[in-house]
Amino acid sequence: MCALAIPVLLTLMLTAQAADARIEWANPELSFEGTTAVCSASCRADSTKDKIEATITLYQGDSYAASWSNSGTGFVRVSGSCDVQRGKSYKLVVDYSINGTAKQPKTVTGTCP
Amino acid sequence: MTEQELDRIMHRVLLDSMKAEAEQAGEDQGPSFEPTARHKRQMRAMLEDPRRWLRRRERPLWRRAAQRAAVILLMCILAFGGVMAFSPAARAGVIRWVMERYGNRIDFVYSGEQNREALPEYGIAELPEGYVEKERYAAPGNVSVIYEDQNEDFIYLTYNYMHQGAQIYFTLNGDDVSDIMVGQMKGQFLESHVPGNSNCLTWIDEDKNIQFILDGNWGAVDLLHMAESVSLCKTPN
Repeated sequence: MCALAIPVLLTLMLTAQAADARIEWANPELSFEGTTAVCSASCRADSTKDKIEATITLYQGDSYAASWSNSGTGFVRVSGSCDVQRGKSYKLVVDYSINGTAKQPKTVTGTCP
Repeated sequence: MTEQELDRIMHRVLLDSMKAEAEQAGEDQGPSFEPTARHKRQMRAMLEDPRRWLRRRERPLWRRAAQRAAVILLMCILAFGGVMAFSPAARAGVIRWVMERYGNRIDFVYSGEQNREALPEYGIAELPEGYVEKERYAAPGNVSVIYEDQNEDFIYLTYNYMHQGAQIYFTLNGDDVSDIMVGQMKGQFLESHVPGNSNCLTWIDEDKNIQFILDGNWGAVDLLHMAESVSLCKTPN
């Protein structure tokens, strides 16, 4: 019984690992046009069946400024813009999940010139 | 009196005598000896510290040349470092991007002033049969183009300026990464081990300061063929 259970368990573990093996990428960008912050990000999973939910949030220092969300399968793009102040530093954080599993947030920073 | 004390006195007498001779040479009215500036410098250095002077005299030519070269190199490095530290434009001109890999992540980190020009419109000139451009999303510094065929299979082309405020993060989870050349441009091929999932090819056009990502459910050869056909559809006004 034990001799049968171990290979089955190993097979299940390997299958689970393979199912999780994927390439993902995200490319957040924060740019400024005068006193407007233009924020965008694309998130991509390697299967077109994967459901992706993404939110980009702009912070001035640690204070919330604005956020935008979008969802899609395989690929999602989210963008938005808002008024900002010259000389202040901003941080754009991308939070996204693939099939309900939250991924590590990605961050870019910039200062409004 | 010990031998060492005697040595010291003799050493002093010899130096005093040389000093007197050197001074006399300067005052001498005769035309026989006119010390050059170099000779005077040498004498001064010798009288100040004879041991050091001797060490310098005995140093081989190659060593003196190497020392001079090292001084010049150090000055160049300091000047270059100063320019790099204080001029963002110079820094951006030299280091535009860095690829950092740790664990299952590859991050492309950019530096340099934000490029204010609109991105040109690039497209895949040699698409597989049946694919057409479905959507094109453009932000100031990045563009994504989605191609689709009648079976709802997709190919994604994304490209962005490599400048401050933008970054690309790849998560691999056990996928293979190999270096690849797209024409003359360096890139990486990220291969998924899951059958039916997409592979990804990314490359950097340093002349245009743009990074490209191409992914779809295609092998390395096909993706490379498509990548090499990526070209301008339209230049910005």
